[in-house]
Amino acid sequence: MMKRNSKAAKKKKPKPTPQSALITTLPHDVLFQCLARFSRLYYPTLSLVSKSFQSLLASPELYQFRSLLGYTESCLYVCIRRHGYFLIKAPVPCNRYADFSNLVAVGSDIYTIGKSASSSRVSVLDCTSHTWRHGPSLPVKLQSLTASVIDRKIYVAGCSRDGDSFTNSFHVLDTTTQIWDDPEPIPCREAKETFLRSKSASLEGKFHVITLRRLLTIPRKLYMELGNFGFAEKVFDIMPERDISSFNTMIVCYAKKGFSLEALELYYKMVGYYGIEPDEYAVLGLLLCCGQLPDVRLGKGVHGWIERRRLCSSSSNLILSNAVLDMYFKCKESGLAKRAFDVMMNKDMRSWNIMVGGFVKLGDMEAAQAVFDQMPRRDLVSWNSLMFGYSRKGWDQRAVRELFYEMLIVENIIPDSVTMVSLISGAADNGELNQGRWIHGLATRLRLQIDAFLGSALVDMYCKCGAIERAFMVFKTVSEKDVTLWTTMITGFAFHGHGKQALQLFEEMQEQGVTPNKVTLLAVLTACSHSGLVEEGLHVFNNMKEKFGFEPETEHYGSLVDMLCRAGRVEEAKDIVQKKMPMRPSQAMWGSILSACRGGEEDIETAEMALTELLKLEPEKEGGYVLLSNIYASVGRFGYSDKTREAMESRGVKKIAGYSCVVGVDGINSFVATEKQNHPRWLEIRGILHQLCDEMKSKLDVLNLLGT
Amino acid sequence: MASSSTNKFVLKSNDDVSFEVTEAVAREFQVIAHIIDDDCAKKAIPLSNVTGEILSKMIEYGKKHIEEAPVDEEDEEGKKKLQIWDEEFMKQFNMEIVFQLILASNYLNNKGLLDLTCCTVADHIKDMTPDEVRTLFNVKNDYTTEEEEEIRKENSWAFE
Repeated sequence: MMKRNSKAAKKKKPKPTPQSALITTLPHDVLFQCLARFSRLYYPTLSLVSKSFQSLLASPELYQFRSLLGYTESCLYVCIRRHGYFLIKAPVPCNRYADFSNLVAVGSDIYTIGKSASSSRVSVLDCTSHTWRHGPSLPVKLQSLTASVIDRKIYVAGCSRDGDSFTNSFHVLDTTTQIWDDPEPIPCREAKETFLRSKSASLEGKFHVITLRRLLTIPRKLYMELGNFGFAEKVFDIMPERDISSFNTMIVCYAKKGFSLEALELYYKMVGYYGIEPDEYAVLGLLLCCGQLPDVRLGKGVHGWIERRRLCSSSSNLILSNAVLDMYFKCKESGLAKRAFDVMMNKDMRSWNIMVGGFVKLGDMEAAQAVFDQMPRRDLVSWNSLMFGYSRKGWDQRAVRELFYEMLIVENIIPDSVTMVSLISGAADNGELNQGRWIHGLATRLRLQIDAFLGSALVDMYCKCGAIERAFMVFKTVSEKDVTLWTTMITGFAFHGHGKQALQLFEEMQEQGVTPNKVTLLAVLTACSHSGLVEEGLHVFNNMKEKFGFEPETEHYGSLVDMLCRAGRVEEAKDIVQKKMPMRPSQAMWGSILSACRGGEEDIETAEMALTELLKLEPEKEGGYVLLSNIYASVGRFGYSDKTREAMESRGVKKIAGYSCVVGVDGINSFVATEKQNHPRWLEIRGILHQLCDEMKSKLDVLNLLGT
Repeated sequence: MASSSTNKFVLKSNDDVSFEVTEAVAREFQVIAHIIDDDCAKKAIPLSNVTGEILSKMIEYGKKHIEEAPVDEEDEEGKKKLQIWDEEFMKQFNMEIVFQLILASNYLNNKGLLDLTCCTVADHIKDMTPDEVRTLFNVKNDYTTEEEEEIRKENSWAFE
């Protein structure tokens, strides 16, 4: 019977049952069996199925099982710098700390050994599960390192920064015990800093380090251009033979980094001590220094030297001539620059642009315009300089707009973000919201990407024009926010009295990994000060050193004092100014204290002291006198009040009249305080003022304020 | 053991279908081999986890692999032939049957068939989207959108 059954069953063809969605869920171990048969290329997709899939795929058991089955795959691990072309599809999660020189493979683990001044972290990529984990951190932070493996031990030769010098050291990580061998450091015979940018290899059980000494002569210039300045200096110092080109590189490098005195010293050493005849590059470096110092006498000397030598080829001559022009402008000698410019045989675009830019920087817009008008051709740089000048000078923005249209339509030059920023800052300074919005719209229509640079200008403009919501909208749309943008937004909130938002933004900024700078902290303190968030402000101030690594500077103390004064905590403020501060108090601090003293009789003493200090610092400023006079007046000591004003007048101090301006149909109108009848349309103004007063009358007795 | 080629054993599926197989075929399944060794195979061997339909397929596979077994390690041609047969053999099943075969071969411990079926599954789903895989394996997507995004980001190279 059984036999028959079996035969019947055998003959039965398997009927393809319709594929149902509800296949019995596979038990864990069977699923395991299936997953082990996949190529690892499919793991990312499969990981997305569910959490249990993901944990199965990342489990070490799966890897072991695969090895057992013989399903091993060879993977090539490639460390790719930047987002370039991918050579292969390597199934490895990214780690931004990886760098080809600090990667070593031990067994199925790839170790990434931290290589930066700020990190001693070691991350380990487990290739069996493709997950990163933390390894034991390096005992020291290494500026530069190279690593190799011998016998499951990672040998690291590195250079740690110690102030301005570098110290070599060796470190060994035993990967089986996961301990850095530090108690007994390996003696290091090599002199200092030779392990910078060195390479290593392990051959026949020996750890070889190839130091830079052999490479010294070749990539010298490279180091400087990479900004590795201290190192370049050291290389230069130990160079056995120095020629003109190494001196030149060094001099220009010093000059470009702003170390003008060092550059000059080196130049004198080169000419005087080594007797090397300077060439045009050395002179170029020298001119840069003259501009930076600024030292016009030396500059003139160099100029004369150039003229006497009639330096070689005309193209380099042009570079030198331009450098001379630039130098004169940096020394604020526009007359000399103009003379030098007029005698120049050849002029290129750069020469003209230097002239325009130079005059603009010195604020001489007429001269700038004159040069601009003479220019045979004008490029974006010329237009940008001119536009910048007019915007900064607080010109009526509509004139700037006309200029802009001329550039766009007549000359057909497409503006860039620099142009936009000039225009925006012009609008911001005049508080012209409409102009600002027009530029914003224009930038959008021109498809200029609103990056952090342009974004900061826009946010600043909207803040200054009082449109804080718009500012915040712009802020939110900028994808790559830099510290300037964050700071601008925080400042905006601060001055609009949105202290809470400013603090919140400050938190967010740190969460996003943007390190605040001194200006940011000042903005935060200002925010606290303007919104009365005294405790929060004190907290930020006290954390400055520890959390952000900045010593508070005069401005920060000033903000702190201002905050305390505004909150009426004059005594604390006084305490800080007189005792706790390491530096001399500034005018602003005494000013804050003085203004905080308005309250009552007992403050008079403090106020007088503050004024005395204030007058030592700025005897010619009127603010202090006025404040003290007002304080006397407020406590009813009019005699003293008058005396103060007399003292002020006797010292020749005049109070500058306050004014406000409004942009009307016919341009900017300024209203100077107590100007009254002098204004051409005073009658109309008075009419409107009276009307306003009538409307306000029910609440306030403002008629007195008008003084009519 | 001398009579292994002639000894017959009876395997009985959970839906009461019986199959008579030679000892060699029976021993293809590790679990049954143990039962035989333990001398517990006098009567029909009940296999409570396997249906007749699946069992018949497994026996077909086992027989083929006994009959056509490569002569030795060097017999490349024999191996190849068997491999082709394996492929053809798997083609006739839909995924549900394949899954049942996996379960059964796992239960009866036939390494060859387990490997074959698992590879079939792997081949079948390797180009599927996660969603299709979920439907097939009847698993729920227990990721939140953020978590899913995170994984996608981590493995962005794979999803281009």
